[in-house]
Parts: sequence; structure tokens; C-alpha cells
Amino acid sequence: MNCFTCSNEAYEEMTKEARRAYPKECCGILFGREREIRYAFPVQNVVSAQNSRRHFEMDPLIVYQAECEAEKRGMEMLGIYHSHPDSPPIPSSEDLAYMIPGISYWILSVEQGIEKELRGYAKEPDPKKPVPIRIEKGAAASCRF
Amino acid sequence: MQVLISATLRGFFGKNAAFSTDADTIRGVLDALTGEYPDAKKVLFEEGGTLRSFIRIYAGEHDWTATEHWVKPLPPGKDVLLLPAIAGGAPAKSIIPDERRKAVSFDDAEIERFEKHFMLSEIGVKGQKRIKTARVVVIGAGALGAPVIQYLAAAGVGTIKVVDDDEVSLSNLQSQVIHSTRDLKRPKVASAKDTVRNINKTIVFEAEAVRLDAGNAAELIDGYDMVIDCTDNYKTRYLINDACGLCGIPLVFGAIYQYEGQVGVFHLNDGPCYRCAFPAPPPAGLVPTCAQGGAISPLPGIIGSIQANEALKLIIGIGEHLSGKLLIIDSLYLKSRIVEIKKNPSCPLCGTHPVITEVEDFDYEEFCGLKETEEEAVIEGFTPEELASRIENGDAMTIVDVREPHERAILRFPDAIVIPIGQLARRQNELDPEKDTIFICKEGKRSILAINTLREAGYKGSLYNLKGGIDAMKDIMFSHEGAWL
Ligand SMILES: [Zn+2]
Ligand SMILES: [Zn+2]
Repeated sequence: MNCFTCSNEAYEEMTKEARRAYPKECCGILFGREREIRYAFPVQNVVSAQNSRRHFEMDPLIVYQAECEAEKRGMEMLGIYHSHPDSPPIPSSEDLAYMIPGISYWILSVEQGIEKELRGYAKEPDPKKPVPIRIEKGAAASCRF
Repeated sequence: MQVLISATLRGFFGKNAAFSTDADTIRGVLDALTGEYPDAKKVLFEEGGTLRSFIRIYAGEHDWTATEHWVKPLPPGKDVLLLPAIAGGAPAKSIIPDERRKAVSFDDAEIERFEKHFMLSEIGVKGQKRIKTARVVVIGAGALGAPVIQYLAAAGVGTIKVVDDDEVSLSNLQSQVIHSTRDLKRPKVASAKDTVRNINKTIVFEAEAVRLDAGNAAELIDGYDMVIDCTDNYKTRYLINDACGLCGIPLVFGAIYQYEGQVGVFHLNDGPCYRCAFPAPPPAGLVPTCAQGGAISPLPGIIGSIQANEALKLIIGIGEHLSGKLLIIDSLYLKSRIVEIKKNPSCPLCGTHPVITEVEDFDYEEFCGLKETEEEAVIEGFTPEELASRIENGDAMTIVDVREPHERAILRFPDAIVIPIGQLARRQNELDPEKDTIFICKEGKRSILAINTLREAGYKGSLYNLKGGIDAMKDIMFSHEGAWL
């Protein structure tokens, strides 16, 4: 399978949000073209304060607005990201239940407030198997799982 | 009218961003969409026909996803939006905060006592500390409570509150292995306390010899980490569910009947609740509870042990658990299955517009639609004395017994024909409309349901209920049926 690439800008945006939200979950949308993630767009986690350490949910209308805006700029919605505070970047049963075919899902684990690992998944063919990604951090980037 | 489709879902609708239809309800819109794009049906709906969890339907800026909106006329001039629900969460985590775990320590005796837990890498010292600091409420010290309380105590749960207003009776000893012969007539909480003390006297055991009701439910559980429902009646299950939802406490539910049992976890984080799974109880008296229906002796041991296991996993924060699922075990044929329980957006307790804001008492019979309302035809009945004298006079009539086979085995009603309620409509031609037909059951409630069922099916003959059921008739002896009992 072709490797996803993630711009340094998008990666920085995700990690900044994940640290800010810790110990709660942050979430957002990734925009770009084909397999090239260019921008991360943070979206408010609308889950009640008491539950937001383990859950996230986005307002569907905000998602729709964001994707319409992106379309105007020639971008498409490539994926969804959220953080896992103090737990590994492995999709939970709830993550799996909400996966939409054709959209990639990115999980950023955050331990003690510091980002640890970003992994991506797709419902098809295997929602539990990470998809390869390359983060464009200067020239030394390599494709990894 | 326009249907606007999110880019995330367009792949299933020929990559179209919009779709025009003259449908005027959500139901009509969905039918039009799946008519045009038959493949989209698999994406929108599960095999059982329920909408998939990741779909949201808006009319203008309002969420119309709940099926109750689907037949309503759509607001004029608004677009319908087909949107993705983007949600998820992190894997299981302990329900016990780290601060509390860190405040716990063990002495030498505890290190020896719990060495089998320390050997498991997923539990270890950290997990055992969480168990020790946990505060759990068990409602019911009967068949399910027996294994639950004993295993929680053996595992080292620091504080166990047990709520039960009952006394130990001889028939309890067939399954309630926390009590023994010398406990007969003692309060169940006192007997349970002694057993727990014998297992580990450092456990804080809080005995509440009261019946849980709407007035005390929230107070009894508030401030605890978890509630385990070990009761045997539907009404209390709803009260416990509501109290847990309002207090934000996870609930481990268990139920048994004859050879079958169920376990589920409700109110965990934002997960579904008992009302999401069972919006309405079966009519009172229609489905016998365990007390009337009986259960094979080890069944509560199996189900209660699974409840205790779920409780410990939630406390430790390991494994997969039954939140959003219901485990059903058939002990007779050794089959088990897990059914998915979805959060119901129109749940009166945990849905998008909750209407239950405090634990309220409710009329169980009205709740399940059994109560006779004024508009309904009044059901005529005979008292046990009236029926007895009609039988003695040899009046022409048909008596229909709608009880379960095991109930009939204990107490046979002479000259009654047996038709289960589920077969009544189909088998109504077995009844003679020229003759009076009298329906009998244990308490006189299932028989009312039987009469209503037959009337709805269009049966025209006269139908009577035995008031109070066979329970009320037990004391009346028939002169010609000396060996009645
Ligand atoms: Zn997640
Ligand atoms: Zn609910």
C-alpha cells in the first residue's frame, strides 16, 4: 500500500492540540490531497467534561462546514485524528464502531502530557492494522508503521 | 427538497454532493436515497435494519437522527443533511483515579493473600491497590449477590455495601451459597456480613437492611465507584439504572431465568444504559421473574461470577468489557452469544433530550401497558369462590390455563385446557364462543393479557378472568377433587 505522508505543519498542529487537551482527548480533521496530509484542523470535543478523558465526538455540522471550506480550496477530507491520553495508539472498540469506510483514522498517544506515537488505521481492509505513514520532518523522514 | 451529503459519505452515493427528492419525511428521504443507490443500503443500515452508529441526519440545524423523527413532516425550506458521526474513545481504563491508588499500601499478610493477583502482569501491585481502594454497592444478597459478594471480598475489594431487606428462607439455600442453614430467618445482609468477615475481616462491609426504592436509591449509591445489580425484579432494575445514570456510576447488570442468564455493563462513561437496551419491561406477570420461574442451582453462580469478573476488570482497567453489549448464556445447551446494545438517542434517561431528572417511582403496570384504562373494555372476572361454585354446579364452560409448564406441574388445574398466550390468537378456534371461557394464571395478570390478546384478535365469545389467579384459589377445596393439591 502507498505510504501516507503527513506535513510537518499538520503534525505540529496535532501534537500542540493533544498536549493542550491532556488529560482529555483532542480531536480534529485532516485535509490534503490523495495520500498527502497537509493541514490539521482542530475541532472541539463535544463530549461532556466528565467523559472527555476517554471519549471524543465532533459536532456533525462543524465537520460539514469544515469540509465545505476545504473543498473551496481544492482540498479533501482525508482523515480524522484524536488523542489517547496515557494509552497506546490502538483503536478502542468504540473507535472501530465509528470508522467510516474510505476515511483514515489517526490516533496520537500522549503520555504524561507529551506526544508519543502517531498511528493511522482504515476500516478496509483491516481496521486493526496500522497503515504506513511518513512524517515530513526535514529530509530524514522515512516510511514507518 | 435537497439532501446534502457529506464528502465522507459521498462515495456511497455516486460521489454526489447533493440529491433532490420530493419526499417530505426522513423515512421518505432514506427510501428515495436507497432506491437510487441500492448499494448505500449496506452502508446506512446494519443487517437488522437499524441505522449505523456513524450516520447522523439533520433537518436544517437540528438533529433528526432518532427514528421517532422519521415520520414527522420535514420543516419547509430546510435542507436535509446526511452527515458522519465522528466519535471514538480510548481503550478501557480503570474507573479508580490514580490519586486513590497511590494512597494504598499492603502489609505482609496482604502480600501473601493476593500473590496470585500479583503474578498476573495486567493486575500486579497497581491493580491490587485499585481493588483495595474500590467502593462497590451490591444490590441484592440473593442468588446473584452470593457469588458477587464473596468473590469481591476474596479479591480484596476494600468497601462492599450490600442492600437487601429480605430474610434467609429455606428455599434460598438451593442457590444462595453465601447463606447456610444456621442463617434461616436472619436478615440476608447480616448473614452476608458474617461470610465476608470469615473471608477477610479487614474489608469494610456496610449492611443496609432496606428495600431499594425511588426515595433512597440515589442516596444509597452516591459516592461509590460502581453498582452491581443482583436483584430479581424488573421494577428495581429500572430504579437502579436511573439512579446510576443520574449519579454517573457504572452499573454491572445481571439476570437469570430458569437455565439462561444475562450480563451487561451500563452507564460506563458515555455508554448505553438499561433503558437503551430495554425501553419497556415485559408486562407484569407475563414473564415470571426468577422467584416464580425458578433457576437451576449453579446458574446464578455462573452469571454472578461473570458480574464479579466484569467489576474487577473495570476496577483494574484491563481487558474488554460488556459496555454496549449484553452477554447471554444458555446453560442447558451450553451456548452463549453477545448482542450489541446501542445508545438510544431517544432514551428518556441518557438520550439527547433526557426527561428523567430524578429517580422517580412509577406504576409498573401502567409502564408496561397492562393497567386497565377507562377507555378499554372492562375485563369481567370471577372470584375464586364464584369459579369454585360454577365448577361444582357443573356449568358448561371452558377453562384455559396460560401458566408455564413448570407452574402447572406443581399445581394442576383440573379440566383446564392449556394454551400459551403466544398461541392464543392462532388457536382461538379451539374455543367455543357459545360457552363462557375462563382464563387462569398464577396471579390473575397474565390471564388479563390473554383476554386482551384474544379480543384484539377478534374473538367474539365471552371471556372471564380468574381474579387473583390460582394463588387466590389455593385454599378452596373442591368436594369432588379431594386431592387438589
Ligand atoms: Zn480512540
Ligand atoms: Zn439510555
